[in-house]
Amino acid sequence: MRRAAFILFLLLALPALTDEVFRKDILPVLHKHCFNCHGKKKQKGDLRLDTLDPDIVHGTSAERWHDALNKINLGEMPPEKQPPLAVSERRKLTTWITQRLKLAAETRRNDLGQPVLRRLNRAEYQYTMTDLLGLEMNYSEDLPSDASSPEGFRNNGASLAMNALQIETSLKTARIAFDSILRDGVQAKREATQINLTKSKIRGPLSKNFIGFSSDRLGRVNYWHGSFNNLPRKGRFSIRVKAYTDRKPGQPAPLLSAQYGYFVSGLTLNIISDAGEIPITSNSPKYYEISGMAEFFPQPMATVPDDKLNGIISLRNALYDGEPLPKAVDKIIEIKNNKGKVTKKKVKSYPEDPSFPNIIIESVEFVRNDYPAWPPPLYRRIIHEGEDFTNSNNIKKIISRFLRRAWRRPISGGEISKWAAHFEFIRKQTDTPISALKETLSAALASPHFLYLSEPLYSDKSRKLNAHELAARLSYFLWSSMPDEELSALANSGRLLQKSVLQGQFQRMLKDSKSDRFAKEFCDQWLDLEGVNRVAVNPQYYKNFDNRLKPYMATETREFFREILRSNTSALQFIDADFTMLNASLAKHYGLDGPKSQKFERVPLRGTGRPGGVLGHASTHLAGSDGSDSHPIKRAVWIKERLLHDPPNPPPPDVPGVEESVPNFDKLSVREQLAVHRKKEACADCHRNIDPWGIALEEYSAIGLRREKTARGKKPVSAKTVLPGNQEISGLADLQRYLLKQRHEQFARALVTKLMTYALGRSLKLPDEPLIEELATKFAKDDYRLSGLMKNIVTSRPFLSR
Amino acid sequence: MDQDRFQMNRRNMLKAAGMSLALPWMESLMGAQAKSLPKRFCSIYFPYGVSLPKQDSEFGQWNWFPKGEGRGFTFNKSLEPLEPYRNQVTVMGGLSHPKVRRIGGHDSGDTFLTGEEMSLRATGLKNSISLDQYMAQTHRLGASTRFSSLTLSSDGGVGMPTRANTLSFSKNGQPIPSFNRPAVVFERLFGLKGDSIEAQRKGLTRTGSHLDLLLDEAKSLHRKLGKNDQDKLDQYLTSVREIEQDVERSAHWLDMPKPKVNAEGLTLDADNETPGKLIHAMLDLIALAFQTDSTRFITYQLASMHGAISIANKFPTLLGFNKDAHGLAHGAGKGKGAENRGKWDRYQAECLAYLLKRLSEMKEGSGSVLDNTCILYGSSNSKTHNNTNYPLILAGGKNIGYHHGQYLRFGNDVPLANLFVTIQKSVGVKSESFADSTGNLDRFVMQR
Repeated sequence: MRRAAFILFLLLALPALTDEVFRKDILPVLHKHCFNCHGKKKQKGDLRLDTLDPDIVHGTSAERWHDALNKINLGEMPPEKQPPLAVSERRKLTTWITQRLKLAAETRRNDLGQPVLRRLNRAEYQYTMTDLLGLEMNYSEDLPSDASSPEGFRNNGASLAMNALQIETSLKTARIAFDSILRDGVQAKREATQINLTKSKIRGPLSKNFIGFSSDRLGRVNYWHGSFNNLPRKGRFSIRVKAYTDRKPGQPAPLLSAQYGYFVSGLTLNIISDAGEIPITSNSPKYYEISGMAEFFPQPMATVPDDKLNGIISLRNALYDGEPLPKAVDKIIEIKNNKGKVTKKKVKSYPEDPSFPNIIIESVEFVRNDYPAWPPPLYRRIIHEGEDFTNSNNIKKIISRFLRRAWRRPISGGEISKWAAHFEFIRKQTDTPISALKETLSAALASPHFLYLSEPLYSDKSRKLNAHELAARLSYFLWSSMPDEELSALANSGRLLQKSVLQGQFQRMLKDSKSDRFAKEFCDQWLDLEGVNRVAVNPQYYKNFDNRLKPYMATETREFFREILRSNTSALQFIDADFTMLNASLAKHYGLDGPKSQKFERVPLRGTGRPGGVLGHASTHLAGSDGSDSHPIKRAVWIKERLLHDPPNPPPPDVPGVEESVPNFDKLSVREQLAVHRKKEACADCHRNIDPWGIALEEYSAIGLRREKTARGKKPVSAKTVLPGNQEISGLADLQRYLLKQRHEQFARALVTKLMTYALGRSLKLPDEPLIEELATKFAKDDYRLSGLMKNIVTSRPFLSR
Repeated sequence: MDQDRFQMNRRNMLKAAGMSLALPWMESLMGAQAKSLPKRFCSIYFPYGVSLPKQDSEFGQWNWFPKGEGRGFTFNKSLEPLEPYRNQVTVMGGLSHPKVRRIGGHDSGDTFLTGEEMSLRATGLKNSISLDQYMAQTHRLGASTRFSSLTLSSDGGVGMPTRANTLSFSKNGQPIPSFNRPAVVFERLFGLKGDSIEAQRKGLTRTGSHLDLLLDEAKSLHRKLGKNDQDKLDQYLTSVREIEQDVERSAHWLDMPKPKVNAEGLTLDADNETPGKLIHAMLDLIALAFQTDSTRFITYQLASMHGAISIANKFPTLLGFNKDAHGLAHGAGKGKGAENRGKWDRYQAECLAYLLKRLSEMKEGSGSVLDNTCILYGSSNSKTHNNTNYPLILAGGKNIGYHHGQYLRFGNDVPLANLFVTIQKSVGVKSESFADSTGNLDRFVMQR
């Protein structure tokens, strides 16, 4: 074993003899400054330089040399305690590594060698099915959750695996969707039923969700509810509400929220689910319509007889301005029994707030089989006017048109015949041609051509994308979904390959509301907004915390991203900005004047004392906490990983917990515990470079508010710390200033890297480095505008090829 | 079961589907209709190890491992809830997977049932087959039930390498997605939703026909790909073949109505905001799945070992403990932190006790379902970051040869896979090895 290691060492050391520069200029510097900690005796940070292959160009060591270069450039190495590099030494070292890395990148450009065949992830599947079929439905509900890549992205081909459940679910989901869309036969009769307000309260286990009374006047607490017979089990329905609001000028519009479901006579069983929300804007009565497909709502068992089955509709005013619900007061009511005898009874009553904008309901109608046309428009998307099934050419037309859209590329004659033959085969097993079509199209949506973004490549060598592949790559980048008609047409004609056309499409697609999906998907994955859900706020320390705030915290950050993208202003605002995006609840939580409704709006921060940028968002503070107190290491790792793209190494195996060697460790504050941590030899090397980033945020509690004491031990907090490179700072504002002044280039590079990784759906490798450099430079020159950067990515070589 | 009718159906279906696959499990299925009682395996995993203050220290009563050894042991507070089942459990200390000691402290969750050295260096982060799948799939012991195995977790899906959200891995080392919503599991096992049997049969036949075409499409795409992409697409091909087998299996089970179970008291709507209800609903489902012989192999990961990724990290906070799971683990070495963590260990032990109670109350043959079920409960850390001395409990299985009521300590020269060999043999695998095993532990835990 030892001999093998020795031979290996010789082999690795061999190229050194051939590199004169390395031997003469570099090795002595490494000897003097580096080998002590990264050599035979010690391998701090798990890095050993004396045996690291100096043949950066041909060897496998390039990534490690690249890390080393970054550390030197950032001034993190050599560490403060050690003698610094002389100017000439530093120059020799960095120039040598940089040049070799550049050469290495060029040599490997044509040999990317990593899988890029990638499966649609859950979000992409959801958006694609919605765009393809036009039917609003929860398509991704039953799909297993997707794996994240090491960089935290869920659209990475290498990380997204395929399994049986995935394919089975896709097939099943497509069948459900086609059952709704391709309705067979004649149109069932449209029927409108007037529904009256039920005066009594909602009964059953549901009642706990309804306080107040059933009323035609909806404020904070009262609700409207009514029922009807013959609940439809299938088909499109509408709830038509004639209503108005009494809101005064300047007040937000109340939101009419409808819930729809069923109950079974004789049982106190009410099952309902949300049907949708509409703002009621007008002070005079108007009709408002909320529609849905009955089959997507809770369904009673098939064994319940129809005459026992009733539909229920409940309406509420969902406007929420951040004020708590009114407290209950006792009220005496008189109840008359059926013999006319009156008894008095004490009940809890929730007084309505007279200043709250109400919805006044004038009438409610339930419309079953409410199709605007027959066959419905979504049916006509697939089967055009006049295409009957008696003619096999029509079948071919229908199938090939659908496959062209679903598979995002032209369909060959052979493929059309194959799938038409499949239709004929299935036709023999089904009662009607439409069932056979449903089956055939469902299978097409479980095929690899649909589930994978496939860019077939006969070898692993790089090549240019064709127009269809480019269209798909562009639309999955900007819309997380399939190309639309215009983009597909440009792919068909090949014009998309012209740079000006591509740029034009980029602008158009970014303006389209579907680009909100990019903002959501990218921002959520880049900043790991899911982190907010993984932390439970501890009610022991935050008694009045309302858990509804948690999703709003994530929304603040998401809307902030959207606003920076939309306003085409500097991305450095992610580090510090003079505004944020809030709704009524969150503004109240922060103690700021803000919107009066739950719609997120731009709120200026200047002069409020509330910090700007994502480091000032409650989402960052909560995700970087354990629900009780701040968690400085979590926050630090997040800053390093997400904002600076410099993820710390994971802890090595079998490191004893520091708590075991220090008396009363558990009585120390987190900050003190970390200080102990940093003093321990085994932990110090890494944690010296990690902890300070998080400590700078110590003045913010788990729920994102300023604090002076910790939640657990009631110890005073301090945000004073020393960042790597001997930079003393105190608090968030200092950290932001430092980041803007000293680290803006690193942040910009990090953002370029994250966006590229997301756009390409793969991890970046050494050959991508020169381009990152180039894009980062352009990004800075363009005042850090995101859309400019995205445009440059879209026209870059890696985006146009694979 | 009516054999003739089944064979007829099978033939018809194969004909309609144009399939001519050799189906070895079918044969083994026919052979497995013996009258003997089922033999089952269930593994429950929790992350970050346990509280291990010194036994003689102030908080020593919160050391997870019992005091004493052999039959004369005393439970400390952490495992006290198991006292009523003392003679149904063996507590084991000292065991671990030798190869896993070489990988990161938070990376070992994936390997609990595989023993693989799952690191970039050693296997390129590839895993190998897990014990449950080895028994259910490789040795086809799962072939005679409606579901060959069932994979549960709190997070769902597969997660990512070294942070998997599942304990089960296929023979290629691919993670098997886990279910995390009780309602979905219930529907799968016992649900009555859907069409008539005839309609379902037609559906399966059509699915069978589609699979041929999909396989064909995938193969022709495969030919157009480079090596790396081909590897990726292989997952699709394998999956389609698995579905083919599922379709066969479902067709066979169609004539057999799903077992009727009493859903009363099941909190099927529980989610990650109500962890107590969620865990108990999952345990109820495990018990029901076993009782109805819907499957014989179940794995359940209570949380994945990554505080930053597992949704279950917040469970302790939601249940009124004073820190999240990772936070509790980091204070567990001594002092008050050991007690805090110990209380969480105790909560988890209460969950195990609940499962033992449910299973022992379900009559089967002359004993209970528990008597025919081998349960392996434990973690792949002793304390956090440390991949040795796994805290393990082996429970149940009196009828399949186990004897309990003891606390066993092993030296770290004994690979955990030796226990796996004993387990697989007790369930019916005729093989004397698993992964890096060097023998078995029969003489310690089996009746002589």
